[in-house]
Amino acid sequence: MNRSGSYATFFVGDFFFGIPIAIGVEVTKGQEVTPVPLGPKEVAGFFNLRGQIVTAINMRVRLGLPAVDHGSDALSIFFQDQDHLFALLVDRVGDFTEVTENTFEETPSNLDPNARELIVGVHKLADKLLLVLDTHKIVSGINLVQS
Amino acid sequence: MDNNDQILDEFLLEAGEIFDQLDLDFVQLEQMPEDKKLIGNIFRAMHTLKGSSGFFAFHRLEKVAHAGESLLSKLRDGIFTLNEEMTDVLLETSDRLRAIVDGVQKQRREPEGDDTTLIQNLKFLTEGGVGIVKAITTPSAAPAAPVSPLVEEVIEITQPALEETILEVAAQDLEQEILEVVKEASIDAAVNEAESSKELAAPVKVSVELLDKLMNLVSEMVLARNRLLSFARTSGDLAFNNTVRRIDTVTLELQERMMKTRMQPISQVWSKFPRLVRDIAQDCGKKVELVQIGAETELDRTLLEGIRDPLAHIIRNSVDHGIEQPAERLAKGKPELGSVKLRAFHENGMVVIEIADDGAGINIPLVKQKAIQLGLVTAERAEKLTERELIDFIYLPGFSTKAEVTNLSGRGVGMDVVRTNIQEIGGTVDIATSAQGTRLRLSIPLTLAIMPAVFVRSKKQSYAIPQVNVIEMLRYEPREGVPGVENFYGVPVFRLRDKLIPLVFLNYELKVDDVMPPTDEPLNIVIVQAAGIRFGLVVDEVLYMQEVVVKSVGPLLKGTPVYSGSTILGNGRVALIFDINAIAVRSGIIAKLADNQFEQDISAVLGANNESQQMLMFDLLGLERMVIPLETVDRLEMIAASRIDRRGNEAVVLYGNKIMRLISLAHYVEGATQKSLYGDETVPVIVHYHHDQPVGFIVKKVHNIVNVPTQVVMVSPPQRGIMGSVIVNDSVMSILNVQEVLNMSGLGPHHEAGISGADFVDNDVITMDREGK
Repeated sequence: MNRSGSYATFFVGDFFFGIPIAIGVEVTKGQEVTPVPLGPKEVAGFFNLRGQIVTAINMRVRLGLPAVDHGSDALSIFFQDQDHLFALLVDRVGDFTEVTENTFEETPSNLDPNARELIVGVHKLADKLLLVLDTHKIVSGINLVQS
Repeated sequence: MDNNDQILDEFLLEAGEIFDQLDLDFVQLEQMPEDKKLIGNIFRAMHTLKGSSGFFAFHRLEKVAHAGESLLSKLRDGIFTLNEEMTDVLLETSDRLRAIVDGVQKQRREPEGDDTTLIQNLKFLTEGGVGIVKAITTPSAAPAAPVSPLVEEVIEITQPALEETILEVAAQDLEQEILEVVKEASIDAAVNEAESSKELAAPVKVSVELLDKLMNLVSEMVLARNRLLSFARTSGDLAFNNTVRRIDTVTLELQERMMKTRMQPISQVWSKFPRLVRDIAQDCGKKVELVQIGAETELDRTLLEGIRDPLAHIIRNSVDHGIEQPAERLAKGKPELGSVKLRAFHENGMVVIEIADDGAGINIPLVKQKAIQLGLVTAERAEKLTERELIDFIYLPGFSTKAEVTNLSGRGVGMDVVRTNIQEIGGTVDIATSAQGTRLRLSIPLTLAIMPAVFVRSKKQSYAIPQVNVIEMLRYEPREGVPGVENFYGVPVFRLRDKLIPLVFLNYELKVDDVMPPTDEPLNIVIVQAAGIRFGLVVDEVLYMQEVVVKSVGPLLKGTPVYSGSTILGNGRVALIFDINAIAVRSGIIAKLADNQFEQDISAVLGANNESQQMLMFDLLGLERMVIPLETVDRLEMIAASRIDRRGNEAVVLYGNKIMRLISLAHYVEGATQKSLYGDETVPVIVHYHHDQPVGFIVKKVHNIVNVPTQVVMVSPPQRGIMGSVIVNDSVMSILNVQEVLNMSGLGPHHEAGISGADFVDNDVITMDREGK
């Protein structure tokens, strides 16, 4: 993954994440999510984006944070992984941020382990750390069979 | 265009593609003569051509391709390395093949011509000869096509490899001449081509992804149209409404056409089978013909892929196991030539594919023996199993009755895979077998992309149940004195027309409710059938039925098999589609039913000598689908109520020169409702002779004669007047207990004097109301 470039940023709990916009990011609000009983707990449900079925992943649950009901104000960040559309339900959406390779650093070892497995590294911005997410790991790391 | 023509066209298209690829491969081969993969490709191409031409009896094509193939096989195996001479001859072979195929395309038959020199040259080289007669270029300049000797050259002229050949000829002072003739010929050829290719409008190849995308867009458009329609309903603007209506019809047609693009005739899959049958038959020294009926039946493209392997396997089984050796067949009085019949047709929105052979049938005793041997069933239990239950064993992985494994079949992986594959695409497999042959019946949904579904509500969400799984829907209201939901070995059950139906509570199953709902409230039950059992799914509400466009649920639900897909509703929301099989498995009722000897309780075999018996189906008021064994039915009559007389408290009618006692069946059969008769009414009567005296059973309506399995499901507790139930075409029929009815009406064989049937039924027969109306 290229370390420099534009990132779409968002907040989940205290974390500040970024996804490279090259992956095909789009942000929407107020989607009605159809829940999936018996599905993996990280899967908030499905919704329809222009005729395509989108799997919504609750980032709070994915990160092991206490769940918050965002209701219809839930914000989703879309990305595509292996022919299927996914959306991350997040707390708040930040700006698009341009970063260079200079600010990149490998994942710090003291980072929360739930977040560490999902990120490829951090960008040290002036005021905070931008955690660069590995979107594929978000999807592939989900335990498919509910315990 | 008949079927053969269609197959021929497909062959021509395929051949055209092969030649295009051959041209490319040969060009590459010239640069890399050592490339084994390339030689392999060319070899396979020749081989394919040879195979197909054998099918059409194109002997020239077959011979030339065969000779070329022989040389190529030596090259492929590294016995020779490609030299210039070989390249020349091989190129000529390719050209000759193309010339013949072009001839076929124009004349619909193989053109005549002499290929002896070419074949000799090929043979010469194959046998290791060097330095063939230099005349090889000449025949290529004068190919054997009858239209115009040079037309072929014109068609080939784009082929870079051939340009050299032509130039070589040209070097022999022919240049000018050829160029002139070529000019003329090219005009002729262009005209010819245009004429002859009219019928063969080459299809455009479109990627499947593009089709799927279009499909998505169309379904999206359908949704937008739905929203528009609801606007139009509330709008008074005429022009707007007309426009919306126009959009509505166009969208509908667009959707239909779009679906069409996915449909392809089943002949696409079948076309490979004649060859398959021929090859297998030859290998086992049998004579078998393959009959195809309904090859034009269309199926969704993805489904066609899904049935290819199962069908091939079934046919292989039929030829290898089913059809007997010719001598054996003759000894049995069957024709020497065995037949495998493929039949495809539409039935109830499904495509049914039947594969019937007239072979020896499945050896049921051997299956039983094997099942016991493998420890699948105890010997005592095996004795009790019906033929159908025994046949079920052949679906088990690793089950084979073949003593030896041949290269064709007998590994025991077959039927297991067949059933799994068919079930994966939403189909079912059914086997019927006898000494006269075996018939497999595959029912396949027309398309996976769109299917009818029943929507139900669970809490705030709506879910779709595929309609193929739905038998009926009913609302159950508890009443005093009627047993409601009962507990049967830990399974909640419900009585439906005297049959016990296990219940699955959807909310509980989906874990959206932690506790079982109270059962003394009205229940909405959808009776579904899956995984070989029938059960009732209790939902919050049954909403509506609708055709849905099925979409995948994506990779994250792989561990949640309860859903088979999803669909987008009219309001743009997503609804999940249930996999009823998975729900049955998940709910554990299958395991519970098996563990608790449900079968033993509900299945007792009556007269198990035949696999089916004939019964007459009729209705009683309030109780439909009753059957009566045909051997107890002597005549059917329509009798006017005005003809009915009373004798004591019996209803009688003059029947020929005898007096026939009339019995209103509704009176004796639990669950039926009685009704008075009026003077001008005629009633259907089933006449049964009891000790030479006619007895008439009054019913509401007589249907037809049905074949019912001999396996009778006993009802527990016994219902008055009903012997048990049978399952016919997925519906339950109750068998009339004729003896019991006769007993109750005082006609039984064992009834002792003084104890008449009237003692335990309060009033006799029918209530008459002649003055009524």
